[in-house]
Amino acid sequence: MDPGLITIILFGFMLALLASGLWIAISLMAVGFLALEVFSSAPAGSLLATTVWDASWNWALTALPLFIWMGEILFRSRLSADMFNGLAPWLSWLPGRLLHVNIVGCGVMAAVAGSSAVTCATVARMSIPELRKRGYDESLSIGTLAGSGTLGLLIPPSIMLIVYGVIAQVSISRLFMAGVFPGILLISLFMAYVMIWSLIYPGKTPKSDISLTRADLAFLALEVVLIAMLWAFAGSLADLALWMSKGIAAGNPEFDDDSITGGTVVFVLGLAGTIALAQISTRTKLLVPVLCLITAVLGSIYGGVATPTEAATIGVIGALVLAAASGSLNWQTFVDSLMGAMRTACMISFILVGAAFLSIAMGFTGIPRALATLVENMNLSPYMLLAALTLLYIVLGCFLDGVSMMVVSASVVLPMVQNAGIDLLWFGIYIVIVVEMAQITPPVGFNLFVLQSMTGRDIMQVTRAAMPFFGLMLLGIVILTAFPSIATFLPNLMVGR
Amino acid sequence: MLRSLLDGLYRLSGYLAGFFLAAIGALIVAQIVGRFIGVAIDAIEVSGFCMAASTFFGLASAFKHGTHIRVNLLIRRFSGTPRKTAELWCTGIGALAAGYFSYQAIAMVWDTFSFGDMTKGLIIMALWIPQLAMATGAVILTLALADEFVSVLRGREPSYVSADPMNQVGEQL
Repeated sequence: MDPGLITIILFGFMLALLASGLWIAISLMAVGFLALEVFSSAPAGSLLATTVWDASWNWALTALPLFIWMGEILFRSRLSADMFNGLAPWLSWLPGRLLHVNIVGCGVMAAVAGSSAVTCATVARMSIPELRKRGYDESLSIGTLAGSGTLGLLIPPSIMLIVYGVIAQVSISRLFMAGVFPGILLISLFMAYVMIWSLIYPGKTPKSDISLTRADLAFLALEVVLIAMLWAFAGSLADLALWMSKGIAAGNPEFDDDSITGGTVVFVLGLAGTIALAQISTRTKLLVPVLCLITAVLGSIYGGVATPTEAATIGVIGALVLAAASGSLNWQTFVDSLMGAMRTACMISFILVGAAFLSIAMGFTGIPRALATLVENMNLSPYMLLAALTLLYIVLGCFLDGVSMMVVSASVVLPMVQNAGIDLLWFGIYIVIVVEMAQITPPVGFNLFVLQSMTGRDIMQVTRAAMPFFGLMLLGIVILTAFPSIATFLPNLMVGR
Repeated sequence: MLRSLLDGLYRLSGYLAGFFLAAIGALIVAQIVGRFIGVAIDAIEVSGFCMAASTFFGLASAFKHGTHIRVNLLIRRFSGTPRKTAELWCTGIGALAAGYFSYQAIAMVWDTFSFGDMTKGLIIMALWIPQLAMATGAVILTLALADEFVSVLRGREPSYVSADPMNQVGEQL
């Protein structure tokens, strides 16, 4: 049968199942089953069981529930209140004042949480009432939250990058590192927009009600020095670990087990520093320790001393210690965070194993190869292909959430992209930013739902507030395409690559 | 009686899933500490098995809590009989699909058992033991879906709708 016709039938079947409200994981399996049973001679039933089993105990996947758990623990701590109080004095001198707390707060939260809904909700929970009380422009305060809330998908540790890494078989450590600078790029774009907006409408930003005393300034300076020292320390330790392991590290750098003592030392020092800082810090009880935690987690991945799963475990332990230190840890919140993480991880893994089966089934029908050849024969330049894909994902994003969008398209799009000579590492960052945009497009945009329920505004108002940030992300993609090394230079520098 | 038995089963399997998730963390800690003191502990394979067990035991619990995502753009606009028909379709097809998957999973576990396949990692055990988690979890999910089908048929609101985080996110935060 003509592959084009098979594609149309299967795609139509998938759309019908999804639109009917059937759960996404089950829909994926059903479409895969149909593809195998009708359009190939392979044994669909036994392939279903074996493929799902093989996909379900993937070692790379184990980082996923642990990072979700870390976010769940911190979500239940008093981090959001501390985030607001801790960041406000730093940022209130910029044009736009406390609106920047939304953006930077989301950036920090994104570096511990890994999912955009948790990022958005944690920051919004505290900042919306505070900003409203002070009379900030509501539309811009919703927009900054909607836009920067999506950073949770990009800034490591990111659930979306783990999912992509598992599907595309790209190193998750390298993906994490590739996400850092594009994340900072987006934060800068958002902050620049807020500043320009505030300079155009100077009357709309309320006066600052934060006056810095000399003691505050001294304390802030102390914080900067301590964090810088910690980063430098982590860096030198990573170098030391590299030096120690040089003789033995001949194997796969991803699973370079022999240099792990370095990671342990970073962890212990991070923990000690955290506790010390928690003692001296009065104004920002959790913020500084959380920054230290981020340093320990990302530093150990960057230094090549820990795999993402090990870094995630360090993150969980650190989060538990911080929650205990701030008095928000008890048996109830422990069990709640564990069960919440378990359910979210279960949902994502179920979709992933369904997608693994669909992708195997698609391979048997020969569709991905046929489509890749088709695109090749159209002689599109990589830029044209990316433009077409961006358009496709924006449309898909109106109806599907991020994970589903990525896994549904992966089996067809990845061969196409690879064929066009696009780096899969770079493409991972690209696709995550496009998925971020999907989070704020109606009618299905998870961040819009979160903000809708937290502000009590209707979905149209929230959407309109988010639109400028949609445009900024589009700009971010253009910049990233023009200068791909924004994403790729850090992973290329990585220790133990 | 049957009701509390079923709910207990879903809850138990959910706690098992939570246990296996925590077990991944514990295994990784053991791996790190073990290397620090010079004992080689290879947690890669076993934590993979824990991952699978956590996923499959968690299926029913996540389903009852409305965590499994779906496109409800269309059906949330329906109410009354059309909505009931749509939910019956979803739970019905879902139960059939999960049932078929359970059947295939059990067949696979049986094959592994009769061939006597072993795991390849440091800890050698029969491969059917970790695989059993997949079959068991799938069966429990099938039960939960069929259970929901019957309760929708009786005119109740499906529990995955009333427990949907999106319907109560405002209260939580």
